[in-house]
Amino acid sequence: MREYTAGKFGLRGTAYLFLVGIAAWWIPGAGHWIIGQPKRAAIIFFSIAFAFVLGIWLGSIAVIDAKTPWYWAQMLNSPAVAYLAHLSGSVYHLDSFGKPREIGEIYTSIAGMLNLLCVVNAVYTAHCINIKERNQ
Amino acid sequence: MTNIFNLYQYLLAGFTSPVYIGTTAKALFLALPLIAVISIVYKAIKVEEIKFASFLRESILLFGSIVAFMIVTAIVIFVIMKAVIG
Repeated sequence: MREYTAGKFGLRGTAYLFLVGIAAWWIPGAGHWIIGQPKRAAIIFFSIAFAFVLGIWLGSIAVIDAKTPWYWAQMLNSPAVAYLAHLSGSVYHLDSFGKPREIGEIYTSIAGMLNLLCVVNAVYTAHCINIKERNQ
Repeated sequence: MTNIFNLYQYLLAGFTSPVYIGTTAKALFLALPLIAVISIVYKAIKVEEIKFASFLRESILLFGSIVAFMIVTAIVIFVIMKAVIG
């Protein structure tokens, strides 16, 4: 497996970890893709995107509501979620209730929390690769 | 062009109105895709190397464990409920 390290990117260790973390948050799986794990990245991207899209299909984009605590978990999917919240709240003035909303919120929030797990894993793996590179 | 626009509107409409989900036992099956995603993502970050057969086996095992544990939990809650309420 080919590993991409901070040195290969011409970045300092901390900046590299920051880049991996931010990329992994913006696009699920991008952090793993940067560190040279494309298979893992593809699995993470398609799985999290599937859960998120299924959630907003079941409950509509109204499940992304900036006034609820669920929003903070949903935001872990990507900052693009803020745009969806703007669309549903300020542009289309959408709302959904009952079971579809509940299930949509659960799907989108769990997708977000899974992405947080992936962000942490990508940053940790990048850190381990950096240490390995430093020791060589 | 009109067809493409109609398709776009159709797709967009799918995300602006919720689908109907009844309060029935069948709605519990909606947990399955989420459990599958949790199993796949968890195994994707846990396994040392991703090889299709072993990754699939590990994911299915985790999926089965979660579903089995949920069924056991449901049975225990049902038994407790029956014992307490009757």
